[in-house]
Amino acid sequence: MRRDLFRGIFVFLALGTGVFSPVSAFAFLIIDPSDWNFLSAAPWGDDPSLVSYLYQYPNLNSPRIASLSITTRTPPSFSGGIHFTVPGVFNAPRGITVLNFGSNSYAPGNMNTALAMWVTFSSSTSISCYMQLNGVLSYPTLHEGENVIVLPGASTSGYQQIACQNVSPSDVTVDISQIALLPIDEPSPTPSPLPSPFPSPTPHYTLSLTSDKSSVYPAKTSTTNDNSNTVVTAIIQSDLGEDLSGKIVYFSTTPKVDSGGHLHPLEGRPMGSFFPGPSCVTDGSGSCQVRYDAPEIGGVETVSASMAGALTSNALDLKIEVPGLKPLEANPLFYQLTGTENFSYHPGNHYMAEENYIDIVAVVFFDQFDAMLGINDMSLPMGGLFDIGPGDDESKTSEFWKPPHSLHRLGRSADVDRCAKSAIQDNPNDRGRCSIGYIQVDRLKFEKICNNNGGHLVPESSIHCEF
Amino acid sequence: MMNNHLSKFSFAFIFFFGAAFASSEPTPLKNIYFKADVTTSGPLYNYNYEITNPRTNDSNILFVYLTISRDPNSDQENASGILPQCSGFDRTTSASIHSRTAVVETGSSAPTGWDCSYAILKGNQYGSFGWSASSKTLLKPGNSLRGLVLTSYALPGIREVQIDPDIDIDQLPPEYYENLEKTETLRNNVRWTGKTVGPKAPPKVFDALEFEDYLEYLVEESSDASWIKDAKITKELNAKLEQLEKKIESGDHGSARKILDEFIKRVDALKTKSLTNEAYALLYFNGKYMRDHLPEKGKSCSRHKHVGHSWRWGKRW
Repeated sequence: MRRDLFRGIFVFLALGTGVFSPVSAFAFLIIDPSDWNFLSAAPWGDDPSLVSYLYQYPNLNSPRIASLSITTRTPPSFSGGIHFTVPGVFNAPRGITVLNFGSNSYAPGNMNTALAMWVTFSSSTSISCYMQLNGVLSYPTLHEGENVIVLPGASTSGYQQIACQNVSPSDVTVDISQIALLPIDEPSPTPSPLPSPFPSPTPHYTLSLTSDKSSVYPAKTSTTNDNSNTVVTAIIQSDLGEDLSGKIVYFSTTPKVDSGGHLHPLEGRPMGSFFPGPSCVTDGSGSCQVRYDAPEIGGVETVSASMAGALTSNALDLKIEVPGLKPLEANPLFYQLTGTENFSYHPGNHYMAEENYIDIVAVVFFDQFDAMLGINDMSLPMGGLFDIGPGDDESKTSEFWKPPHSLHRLGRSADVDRCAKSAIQDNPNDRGRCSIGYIQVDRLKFEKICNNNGGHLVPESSIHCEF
Repeated sequence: MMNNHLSKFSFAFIFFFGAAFASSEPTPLKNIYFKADVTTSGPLYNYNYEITNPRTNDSNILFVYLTISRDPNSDQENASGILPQCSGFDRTTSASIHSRTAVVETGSSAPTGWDCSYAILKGNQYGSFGWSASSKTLLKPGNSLRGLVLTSYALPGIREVQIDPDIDIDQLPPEYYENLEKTETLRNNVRWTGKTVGPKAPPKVFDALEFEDYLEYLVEESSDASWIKDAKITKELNAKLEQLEKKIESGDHGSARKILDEFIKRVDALKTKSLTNEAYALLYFNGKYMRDHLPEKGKSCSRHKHVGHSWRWGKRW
């Protein structure tokens, strides 16, 4: 998520930084919107509707190179200025839009070259910016109405930038009425007097994130709902000691790939949710909370939080698991682990809870019938829904992230194949219609062993012993 | 993975059972006749059980389980020595049960075609001893079964008995498929549970007043279970135990022993006429145990001193 937030920045690159108004005292070279040369258009991120448009002025070989990159859903308008819309963070699948504007400060001729921009955002409170000059960050405050951003010439050759991010769920329209470069032979500008009232110093926020529990049960695995949720707390701090109430914190969650033993596509994977919703408003101490409700799926989710209007975010990993599950050890003398021959979607299908005694059951069965039970699906490594998904399922009805297994969530289930491999030749027990070398698992006799060891049978296609 | 088997789901059912989901649910076991008779051979108690599945029932009986839990903190350890088991005894499971929970050590016998084992039943942390039929020896309605026997050094005590009918899970309607709650509800609805007499370890530390209280509890429970057939007998036995209590409280163990002798003699006289075998076993053998363990001399004390300890410790067993 941090990576996504960074992608959500739109960046102004220039030679120096500062936010001043007015700047009319300088003899700027006004760049006419029509003078921007279109360079390329490329898809941005995972959202095919987002496109990054790259423009340069005046050309690549000029000592005064300026570049402008806008990422948006529809091409920007260059009529009477530059106009475009930055999609809302939560409207895009990744919540991200990027705008780059800059000048190549590495070009020798650009040293001490300044840049100015007149820009209006439809909602300045939705925009969060930072500026970087000679490696030092600062955080400009945007004014209501038109903002005049002046970037003084860089003192050293390097990467200077202003980065701005739309941190609200709503679209923000951006109108750049004018961009100007200081001619190369002009002296380095002196900042003009600051506007009145003097803009207050820009606070630098940090966000910390904690969870009451590091691990929660998957939904539908605990008799106590409290075990399937946890309180997630975000705490905002500011370097200026200002009033921290009323800040909006947005939460999101992302499952880790392959976590929980689900080695199949993420698409459609149920994720945790937030109650009462994916945001909260801070109190006077700068903290606020939401309740995270786990999905049915076991695994690991990264819960992220970001503060509206600021470039601060944090994340933590949360385990969704039935604790204490352990793999059933292979014991080829007494039983076989089956169900893993044809698929790699859920290779860890033999996890069990402490009260699961299928290994004892199998040993007893072997003692009595000289045959090795085929122990099929039990639970996944972190418990929760044991989906099956398509594959060689002839019916093609199984889907990822859905039953047919409605049990097998807690490590207390064990499926046993209806045919057991004989360990001796000419096994006197009934073969039924099992293949040569196998015997049919007698339901009554198996049930007796299952019952004595704390389980009982539950109807399933195989023989299901639930402990 | 399961996909492989799921693909064979219908096939497997038809393959093995012909009529898949024939939709039949068993009916509850009712009016089960379960009787216990206790005899002794030396220091061993023999618990003989008889079970009758009335003709009015529809289901065959598959399992019979008796609780034989032991409190490792307050109950005596098992006596050493190997007790013989039934021919179909499940040694592996039994060893596992011993490692998981404290049980009273028992020997066993079983009717022909029935197996036996120590057990822990689902949802129950306590140990049990169980007998199970095969498909050919299920106890059908209208039939009785003898030969379920436990042998133990432990005293007769009140125990829970659970009797389960055969539920062919492959014949249950589709709504039971992987439905644990529904399946468990069905099992609870159709099984029969009751009280009987089975081996129960005596307390680690003998306390005369507590054991007298335990005798009162046994009388009370026997009366409630109709093992004492006449309320006058209940009253008479209670009166005798009240006398016993007073003598113990006063520290007069000599008189207490005489009262216990009278109690035992009276119980023996009432056998078959006014007491069932269960009541007789409970009161006679526990009365004898108390008499044998009552110290020669007692200290004057009163019952209130024991309230905070364990007023009805017999219920803990």
